[in-house]
Amino acid sequence: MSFRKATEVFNDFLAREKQRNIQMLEVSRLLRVDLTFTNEELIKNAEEAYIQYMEKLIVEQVEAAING
Amino acid sequence: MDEVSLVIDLLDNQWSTSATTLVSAGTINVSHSGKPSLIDVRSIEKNKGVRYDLSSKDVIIVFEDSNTMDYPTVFYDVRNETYSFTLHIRTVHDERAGTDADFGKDRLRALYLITRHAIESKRRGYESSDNSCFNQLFLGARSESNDRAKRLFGYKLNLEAKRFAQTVP
Repeated sequence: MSFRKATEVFNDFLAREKQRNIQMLEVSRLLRVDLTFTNEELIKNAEEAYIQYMEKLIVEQVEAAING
Repeated sequence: MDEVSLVIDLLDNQWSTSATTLVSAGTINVSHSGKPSLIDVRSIEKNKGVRYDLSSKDVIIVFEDSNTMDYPTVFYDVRNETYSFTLHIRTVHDERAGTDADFGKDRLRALYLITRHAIESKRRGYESSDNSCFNQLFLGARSESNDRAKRLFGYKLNLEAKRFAQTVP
């Protein structure tokens, strides 16, 4: 995977987390308690999702290589 | 019932049983056994509230992360489905704490243990009242997400659910 592709994938996960935070803001308004994620949490959540994605991708590619 | 709703339905139905079990075993305190608000964020409409109870300031928010399918037979006539969810458990250390400095921490622990018990008790399958079902449920990684400034305690849990041998029409 190229660096550009890897960056795109990470940005997709970050965009998803930002979208989720908007939804959390909506919940926070209803509950009147601030449950939104901090910027650090947003990035951490995106990083974790990205790591999971990459691990799965590597396993698939190694399995494909082994199986020919 | 869709998959996120099914996870919420499971927690909603199993909460009391799991909480009672853990309180009886002395694992958690009875004061921390209350059901949190179970939230499917997709159901929120502006100024209309949500279809789940929002009386509690503890929340479990369920997001679907991914869904994969495979067709394992020669004729591709059955389908196995794997769903991946993220559960955000969040609780606020607020006026409920009184003088208890560990309230938020203990409450979070109880919420996690009850959630885990509820899901593990249905690890070999859960069927809702409308016959929607999962055949397998497994909890995965857990990570902390605390915010001292907001006095917010949280866990992020991964949940994987599977359905096997769904007939392809």
